[in-house]
Parts: sequence; C-alpha cells; structure tokens
Amino acid sequence: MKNNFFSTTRFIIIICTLLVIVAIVLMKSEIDGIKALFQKVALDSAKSHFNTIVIMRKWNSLHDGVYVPVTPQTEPNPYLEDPLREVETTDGMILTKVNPAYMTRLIADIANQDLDLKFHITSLKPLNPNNAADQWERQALESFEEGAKSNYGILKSGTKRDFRYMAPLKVENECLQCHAKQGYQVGDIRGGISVTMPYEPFQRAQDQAILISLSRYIILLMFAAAVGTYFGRKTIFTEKEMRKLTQAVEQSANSVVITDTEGRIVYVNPKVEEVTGYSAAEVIGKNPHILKSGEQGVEFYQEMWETIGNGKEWHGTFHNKKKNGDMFWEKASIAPVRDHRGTITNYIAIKEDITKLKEATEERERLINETRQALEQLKEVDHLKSELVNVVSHELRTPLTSILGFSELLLRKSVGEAKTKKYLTTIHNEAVRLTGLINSFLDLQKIEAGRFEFKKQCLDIGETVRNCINVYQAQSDRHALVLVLEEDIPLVWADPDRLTQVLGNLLSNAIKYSPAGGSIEVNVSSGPTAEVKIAVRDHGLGIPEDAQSTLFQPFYRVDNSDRRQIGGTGLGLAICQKIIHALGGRIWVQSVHGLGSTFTFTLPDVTIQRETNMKEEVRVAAEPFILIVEDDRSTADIFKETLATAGYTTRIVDNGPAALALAITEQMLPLAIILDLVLVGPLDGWEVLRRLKQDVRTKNVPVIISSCLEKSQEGLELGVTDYLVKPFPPDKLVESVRNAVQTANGVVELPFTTQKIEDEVKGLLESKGFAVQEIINRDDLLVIFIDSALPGKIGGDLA
Amino acid sequence: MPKILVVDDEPALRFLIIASLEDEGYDLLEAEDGFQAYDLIIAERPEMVILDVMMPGLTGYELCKMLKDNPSTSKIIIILLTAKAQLKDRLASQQVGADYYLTKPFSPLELNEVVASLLQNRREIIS
Repeated sequence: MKNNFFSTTRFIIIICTLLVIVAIVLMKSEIDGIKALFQKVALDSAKSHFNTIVIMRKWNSLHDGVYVPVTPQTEPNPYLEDPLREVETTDGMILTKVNPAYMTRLIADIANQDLDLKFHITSLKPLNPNNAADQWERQALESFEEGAKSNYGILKSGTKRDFRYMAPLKVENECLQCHAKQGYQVGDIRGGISVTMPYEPFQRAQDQAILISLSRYIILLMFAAAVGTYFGRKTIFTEKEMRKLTQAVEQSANSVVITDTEGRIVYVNPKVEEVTGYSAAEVIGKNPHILKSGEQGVEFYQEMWETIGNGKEWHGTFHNKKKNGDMFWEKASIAPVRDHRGTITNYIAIKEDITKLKEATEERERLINETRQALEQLKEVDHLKSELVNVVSHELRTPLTSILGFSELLLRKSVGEAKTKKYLTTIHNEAVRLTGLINSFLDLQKIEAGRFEFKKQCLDIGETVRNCINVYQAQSDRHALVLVLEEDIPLVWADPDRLTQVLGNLLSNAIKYSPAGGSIEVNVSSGPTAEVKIAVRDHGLGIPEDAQSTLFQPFYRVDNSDRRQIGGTGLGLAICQKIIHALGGRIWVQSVHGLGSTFTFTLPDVTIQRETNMKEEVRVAAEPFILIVEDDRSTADIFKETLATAGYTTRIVDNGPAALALAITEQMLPLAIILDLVLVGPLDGWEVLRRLKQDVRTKNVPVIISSCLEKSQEGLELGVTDYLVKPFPPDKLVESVRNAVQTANGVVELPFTTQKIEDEVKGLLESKGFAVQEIINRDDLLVIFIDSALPGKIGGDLA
Repeated sequence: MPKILVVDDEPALRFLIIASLEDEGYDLLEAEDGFQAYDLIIAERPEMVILDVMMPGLTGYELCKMLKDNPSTSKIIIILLTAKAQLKDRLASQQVGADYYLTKPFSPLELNEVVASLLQNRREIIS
C-alpha cells in the first residue's frame, strides 16, 4: 500500500515538474516567435514604405523630375543645380522642378505629418546638409558599403520606440543627372533611405498576442503547479508523518525487527541493542536465530515461519539468549508486510521483553504454591492435632481407668493387705505414667515456645548411656540391652537430664517396637568431626521407608490404625529431635521395615564447646554464677576451671563497665564477684568495688579481690569479703568462694506486686527452713534477706 | 462356672478387670492381643469376652465382627471397652454386633454388674 502510494505520488510530481519546464520553454519560444513575427511585420511594412519611395523616385527620375507650381510648400529646390529648375508656362505660371530627392523630402513631410512615418534620404556625402545621416544611419550606410542589403532595428528615442529600416540607394543612370558631379558611378552606393515608424502599434499587437499565448500557458502552469503542490504537500506531509512514525519506532519501548522474506534482518530499533546486547551493525543482514537459546524446539520455529509465510500474524513467546549469554523472554508478534501487488516483502516483529514479568509471574506462582503447601501442611498439622487428641484421649484414659478402677475397688470392697498393696502399686505406677505423659506435653509446649532450658556441661557419655540402659533393662526381661562403647570417647558438651530423656525415649521405643523381644544395642563411637555418635539399634518391627522422613514430626506415629495401642504420644521423637538440635547434634533413622531400626544421634565433643565458650556463657543466663572480673584471659580460664570442678558456674568479663553491667542490670545477682584491681579501661577494680558497694542492689554481693597488690587493708575497709594476693593455689580460691557464698546474706530482688505472691514466696522459703526478714516493702519491690547458711545456689533458684 | 476371656494389651487394665471379677466365681482367662484371644476362644469356648477396642494386630472391632459372623462363636457375649464415648464409637460397637460396651474409665462395680446381668439374661434365654 505505502509503496504504491509513494510511487504514484512521485510519478505525478515528476510529470508536473516536467510539464512546468516544457511549458516555460515553449512559452519562451512562442514569445520569442511572436516578437520575431511582429518585427517581421514591422520590417515588411517598413520595406514596403521604402519600396514605394524607391518606386516613386524611380518614376520621378524616369521623368527626369517633375514640375510643380511653386508654392510655399514647394519652393524651388536650392540644392538642385539645373538651368531648367524653374520654368514658366505659357500662361505664366512658374513651375519648379522636383527631383527625386526633393520629392522624397516632400512626401516625407506629408508622411511625417499624416502617418507619423519618417523617411530620410541621406548619404555619407549629402548635397543637402539637412540630409546628413544620424549615427544609426551612418552605421547602416557604412555596413551597406561592406555589402549589407539592409539594416533595421528597434530603437528607443526618448520614451517611444521606433522601428527603423534602412536600405541603400544604388547609383543608377538617372541618378547621375544630379550626382555625377559627386563622382558616383552606376552601381555605387550613393546613400540610403531610412524609414522610421513608431513601433507602438506593433508592440501593442505583439503584447496582445503574447498575452493571449501567455494566458494559455499560465492556465497550464497553474494546473500543473496545483497538482504538483497538492501531491508535493502531501509528500511533505507524509514525510512528516513518516518521520514521526520512524521516531516512534526508534524510541519504542518494544523491540522492532524488520527482516526480508529470507529472514535476514534489515532493520532493528535501538531497543533491540538494549535488550539483546547486539548492536544494529552486528545484526543487520543476519538471521534472528542468532538469538536462539535452543530451549525451544524446531517445531516451534517451523510453526512460526509457516504462519507468517502464509501471510498471517504470529503471536508467541521466545526464550532467547542475549549476547552475554543471559536468557530472556520475549513476547513477539510477527506480521508480514506486503507491497501494492500483495507480495510479501518483509516481516515486522514487535517484541516485548517480558523476562521481568515472567519472573514476577513465576515468583507469584511460587508464592501461591508455597502458600498452598503451607496451607496443606497446616491442614496436615491440624489433622495430626486432632489425631493427637484421640491418641491423648486414649493415652490419658488408660492410666486414669486403672487409677479410678483400683481406687474404687479399694474403697468399695474389703480386700486383703497383699492385694491392697498390689492395687496401690498399680495406682502409683499408672499415676507416674500419667505424669510422664503430661511432662511430654509440657516439654513439647516449652520447646515450641522456645522456653526449654539446657544446662550444658562436660559429660562422660558412656556413663550416661550405661545408667539409662540399666533403668530400661529392669523394665523388660524379654529384651537384652547391650552397650558397645568405643575406647577413648571424648567428653561431650550436653545437658545430662535432656540427654537421658532422649536416650530413654529411644530405648523405650526400641523395646516397644520389638514386641518379640531380642537384643537392643547402644553403640557409642567418636565421629571424625569432633562429635560423638550414639546409635540405638533394635531388631523389631522397623519403619516403612515412606514414614521415615516424617517420623520426627510432632504428633506423627507410624501406621496409626494398628500401632496406636503400642503407646506413646507421637511426641517422643519430635522432642528428641528438638533436644538434639539444641545440643548442637543431629538425629536420624535407618530402618528396614520388618527387620528393625537404628536411631542415631550425634553430640559435639567438648572441643566444640571451647570454641563457643563465650557465646554459651552469654546465652545460658538463668543460672546462678560467680562473676570473674579479670583482664588476663588465661588467669580467668584457670579460675573458671577451678571453680567448675567445685560445681560453680562462672561468667568472665575483662573490664569494669561490663562487670557493673552484669552485676547490676542482669536479672540475677552473682553469687560472688572475684575482682582484679588492675583493669584496663575507664574503671579500675577499686572503682568497680566502690560502685558495687554503693549500690543498694549489689552491696551485699560478696566481693573477693584477686590481685598482685598487697592492699588488703584498703580492700577490707571498702567491704570486700576476702582478699587473695596472687599467686595463690586453686584450693584457696575455691575455699574463699565457698566461704563467701555461704556466709554472705543472699539477697534476692523480686519484682512482685501483690501481697499474695510475697506471702507465697515467704511461705515457700519458710517451709524450706529459712528465716525470712522483710526489710523493704514498696509496691513494686520486695527485697528479702535470707538468713545465713544457705546452700550456694538457693538465691538463684528463687530468682 | 462361666468362662470369661479378658482381652487388653494393657497389663494394668487386664489386672483391673480381673480384680473386679475375681471374687464372683468366674473362670477368668487373659489374652494380650486379638490373635491370641481368637486362639483361646476357639480352644476354650468362653461364654463371654471382655474386649478392648484398640489393640495391636487385630483390633477389638475386627475380632468382635469375626466372632459374631461365625455361627459357632456368634453366641458368645461380647463387651467392648472403648476409649471414646462418641456416637460413632457407639455405632461402631453396634455394627460389629457387640452385646454391650463400656467407656474407659469405667467403674469396676458397674462392670461387675453388667457381666452378671448379661450372663443371667443369657441363661434365661437358653432355659
């Protein structure tokens, strides 16, 4: 369409231009023709005047002049030398001879008067000086002598234009009558007659003719100009449009690629470079498949070429590759371009980079999926929880039934002593079982709420396992519990109570799920990466493979329908996993269904603990401790180890401000403070001591000075409990700490608000045999002095 | 001396049931799971089975249905012990043809009375 339009327009414009040029050329030549024609007419007219004169002169000269009466108009010719110039007729009339020259002059006078026509007979050598030639005539005469036949031209004289014609007069026989004396011979050019006539009439006629001709051409030109202008303007307009469109394509936010029918790129807009990294120069002439990522199959491209080859638009999404290798998604629409005959000449592809969109969509889908999965999991958890309610219902009812049943029997029936004891034993055991179940629940609740406390310490794992095995062996005579302990097992860093809980759970599972009895081995070995591995292996029912991954989920129990009665809450392994993770280990299961299971867990050995020592100290908070203020780390470590062997937990700080912070702002007061006097930083030991003793909260915390300075007197004046001069033996430190803790009045600060709680606390303390003296009782603060001889940790337990 | 089989995987509960009934002059047998119970029923032909519902292997419902579907054992009186007292558990008990059901926790004296009256009814029907 567009090509068609452009070719037609261009053609019309060219025709119009040609037309104008031809018209102008023709017009010019026609005007010239008209001008020449009218000059010719003027010339002929002048010639005929001239000829008339010449003929009349000839006639005159043939008659050797004619005589006319002398009148004022016809005075005798003074230049005529003729004896018969005047003759008298018989009747007395005087006649004078009029020779050709005179006659010419006379006629010229009349012509001049009547026709505005001037005849001038002249010569280079005139007899009559009045007949002298003017300049133009002189030139003409001279040209005649050189052979010219005539001379003419349009001359301006003042405002009017004259047509002048001049031809020579040749000497003839007759002429010699008068001019022989001038030396002429026949055939000589004696002179000439010039005819001068006004050119105005010719000019007018010529102008009119030119006007008529011109008007025709003007109409033609106007037409051509109109057509040309119309299409020309249209072209200009279209070009503007084209510029706009080109600009639009160039600035488009979409990639625009134009190819020929072979698929070679002929145009790309700047966006293409921006998106693909290929410059226009790099891609022009190439096939767009340089962008192919290879992610989309041959059929995909075949389908595309087929569609656009058939003249249809194709829409689709390419997964393409940039110059730098990055992949990107392009949503493309490709359309064929046809010429005015309908033949496909090009293909235009408009492509939008939808990588971000795609990513966003995928992200959204991923989120939706995740949400859906989370929802499924929630549903699953919900389902498991209602399962749990059933299980718990069963698990709670079983011991309750025994307790209620036997107590009812005891109440209602009179039973013998032996039976009574048996019944009561059963009641007791079932109550214990119920307690254990409830504890499991509480443990899980605590773990899930993040309130589980771990009291980690160095442990001989072998010892712990042996104790557990002894307990569980006593519960079953059908199972043989075997301990396989590798030599030189390192100490582990763990909480013994929780470890016992995990081991107990695994052992009781092993027993429960080996209904046929058999051996249960506990294998303790040291792993390659500073860890100790404990494996509990049974030869019981085993666990189906599909259940193994979900085994550690809370509330999960294998094959609920027929294993429910085996007991348990479905919480044991979940609790185990959480405990082991909290202790820094891993737990997993290997099992062959029907052949038994092996539950294995690891614990970090004590070397790991040393690396994380400081962190642990900060994290394990709610435990009574001895505060060591010592800027020499190795000294501090010796104190720590020494006190650890005596059962004290310690916390170490190396500067004054940290010591005060830990001593004052922590929820729990230190049992005692071991203070070095020489400290780095803004506060030295003396200053720390002064502040501790000034603060009502800390003034009763025993302070033991450990210093190289022998200034015990000053120390004691400031209220220190003991003053140790370095170096001193470890025993002395332990003894000093023990004395300080035991003799000091433990001060516990409790933010209680109600009298009831105060009373409860007092009651609790008093029930344990402590004398309680209330010294401050404000609304929000109760400070209780606890009397001496307290075991070391009681203050902390209370807090 | 009527023979009564007590089936429960919980030793404490078997003990409770036996303690509830032992002074009433019954011949009390024990089984700790469904399969063991079935073998004993075939061998001993008890007049009554007190059957816990939740047991490993063969559940109480399944065993009850087996016994009631078999003409040679369908006359045996079956008391089901369920942990739940929901409607669907009662319906399940009826569907498997149990003669009576008790919900844990149950009263030993009530059990005693139920056992006695069910045996009494059976004797009246037979005579």
